[in-house]
Amino acid sequence: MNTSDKNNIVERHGEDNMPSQYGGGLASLIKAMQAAFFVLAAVIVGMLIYYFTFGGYFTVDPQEYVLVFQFGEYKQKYEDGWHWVFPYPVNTVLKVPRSRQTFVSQAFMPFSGRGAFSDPEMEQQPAGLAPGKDGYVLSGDENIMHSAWTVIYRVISPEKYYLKCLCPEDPTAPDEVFRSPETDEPVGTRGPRTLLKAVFDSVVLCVSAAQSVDVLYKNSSEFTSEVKSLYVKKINAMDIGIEIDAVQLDTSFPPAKTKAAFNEVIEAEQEKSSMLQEAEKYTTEEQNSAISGSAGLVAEAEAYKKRTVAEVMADQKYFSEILKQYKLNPGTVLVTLFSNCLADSVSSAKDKYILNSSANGKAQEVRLKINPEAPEVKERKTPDKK
Amino acid sequence: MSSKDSHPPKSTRHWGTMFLGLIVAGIFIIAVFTYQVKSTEWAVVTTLGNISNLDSQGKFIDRGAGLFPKWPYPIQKIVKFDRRNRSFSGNVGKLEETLTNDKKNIIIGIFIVYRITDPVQFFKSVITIPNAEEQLNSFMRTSKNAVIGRYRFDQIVNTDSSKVKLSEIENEIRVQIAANAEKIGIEVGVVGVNSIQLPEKIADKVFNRMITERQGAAAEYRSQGRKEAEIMKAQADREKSQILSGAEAEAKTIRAEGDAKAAEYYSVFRQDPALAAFLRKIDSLRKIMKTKTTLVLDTDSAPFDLFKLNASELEGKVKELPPKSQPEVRRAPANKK
Repeated sequence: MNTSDKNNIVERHGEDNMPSQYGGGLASLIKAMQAAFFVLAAVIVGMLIYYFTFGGYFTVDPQEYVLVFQFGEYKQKYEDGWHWVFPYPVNTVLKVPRSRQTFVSQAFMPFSGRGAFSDPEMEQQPAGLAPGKDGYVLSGDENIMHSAWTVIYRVISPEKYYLKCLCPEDPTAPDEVFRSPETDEPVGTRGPRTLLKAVFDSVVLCVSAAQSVDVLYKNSSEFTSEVKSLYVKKINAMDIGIEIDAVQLDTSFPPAKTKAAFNEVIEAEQEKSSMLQEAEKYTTEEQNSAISGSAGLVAEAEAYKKRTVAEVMADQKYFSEILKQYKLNPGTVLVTLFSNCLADSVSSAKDKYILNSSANGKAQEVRLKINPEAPEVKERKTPDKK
Repeated sequence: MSSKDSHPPKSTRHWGTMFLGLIVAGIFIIAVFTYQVKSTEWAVVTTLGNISNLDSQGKFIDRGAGLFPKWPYPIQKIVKFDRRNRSFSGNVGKLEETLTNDKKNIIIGIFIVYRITDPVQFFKSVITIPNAEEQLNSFMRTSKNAVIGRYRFDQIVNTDSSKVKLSEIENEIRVQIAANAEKIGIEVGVVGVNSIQLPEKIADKVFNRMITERQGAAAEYRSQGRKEAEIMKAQADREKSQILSGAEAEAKTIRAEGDAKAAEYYSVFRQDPALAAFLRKIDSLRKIMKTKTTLVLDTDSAPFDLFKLNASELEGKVKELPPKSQPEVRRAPANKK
């Protein structure tokens, strides 16, 4: 309604002899309505502009995929950049997580009302295990073990992931909690993580059921590897666009009641290990001793051989030289040799006694104290004994 | 300029209003006369209570995803069902004890992964997911008990993986559930056992057995350790003895070689054996007398016989050399000085 319309109405009212005070009020009302209409029209136009520009604009972040559905039908997948599509309800844009996702399986842990950061192994009370409340796995040799796991996965095909696997309305959101129709109490969750977790728990049970408790408790790498292998196989068979990156065994421990017995086995293993280490040490020492001893024996024999030969060779040379002189002058050589030898020998002797054995034609009796004790030593020893 | 000229004709004066009105009307018509089906959904169309999208054989016609026309409510109603895989772990009877073929009580929990494949059948029989899951729960419970009852406990857990029949059990349960679920328009893709537990009293007995087994294992480790250590030590002793005896033999051979080689040089001594013997004796005497020795000598032995000579006898005596007798040598132990 413009100004001329307003004037016309006022004029017509005037013609109908309407009271002038009504004509003024009506004119103000019309003016207000015109303004409101103008604002409304501007808002609508603004909304339409926004709708046709920003309503269909989206960017794809590195940690997500974007799927576009036209009238509900899947059309295209976008992996990067910015894009514009005709906005809702013609096209619907959905974001699917691309980065690594994690879920933790506590299905085989004992029940506890503890916080997320407490140590379940430490706080576990030595009580029985209540079915449905406490979780555990049964090993192939019918033993009970607890374990907690972390699984890391990625969405590699967002269209398969969204079209084949029940997802929340916003696929980046956590799984939906569903409630009992009767009691309205939460009874579980629905979504891809719930599905992945259920399959994972089943795989852990399957692998555990065919392993001994020693493998579950001690050989965690073998156990984890088997679980991962089977899990990957099952998830690939489901073809839901997910790739399993890692399966980690966070902890594995026996029930509290048997904990002491398991610790005793570990202690016994340590004892065995130390016994074997000691035996190895002994073996090494004995081997080295034998090698060094044998080397010593051989070296000694070699030295003996060399020494003997060298001595004989020297004797031979000495003899040859003496023999030449001896043949020329035997008496002198012998006396010289004898005298030299005697001189050397007597001079090196400590005590020398030269006796006339046939004095006056009678034999003499000589008494010698062999190895007499030194008087000085005796004197020195006396004050020590005090 | 007259007022008639200054204003646009009446038909074009309200174009804006008319345009907005058309847009609103268009949206209203589209909303009322069409429906959207997502790629993740099935849509069942009922016209005045009868299912419309059926073929001549009464089977559901899947038109796929997109925008489709419809008569407005209450003439036509659109019922949509999600067609994607969803997992369901059951709830009722989850903690019930099941008897194995060898009469052992166990508590087995299973889950299924299912999806709606026949929306018409689903719509006719159960209508909603909670209703469907109630029926599935019943199928799961019955099938689980029936199948587990045919297997022994050692076919559920066993260290010999070839004897573990969990996969077969899961498959049999799946076949049984699938046969029933098909009647309500559901396809069961996967069935898995996600808990195997023992009744509380039996679990306590298992604990006692585990403790005994562990104690046995500890004793075994210790005795094994002792045994292996003793074997290793005995082996080390034997090896040492072998090495040393080998070395002794080698040393003996080397000594013999040395003696044999030395003997080769003895031939020279045959030129004058008496001189050789004399030289040997001198050599020996020197070696012996190197240590502290007490010597007792007779004045009859040379050269001490000189002590008994007069000057006149000296000349004659000198001619008698070499001496008649050797000096007497007595070795005494060294003083401890």
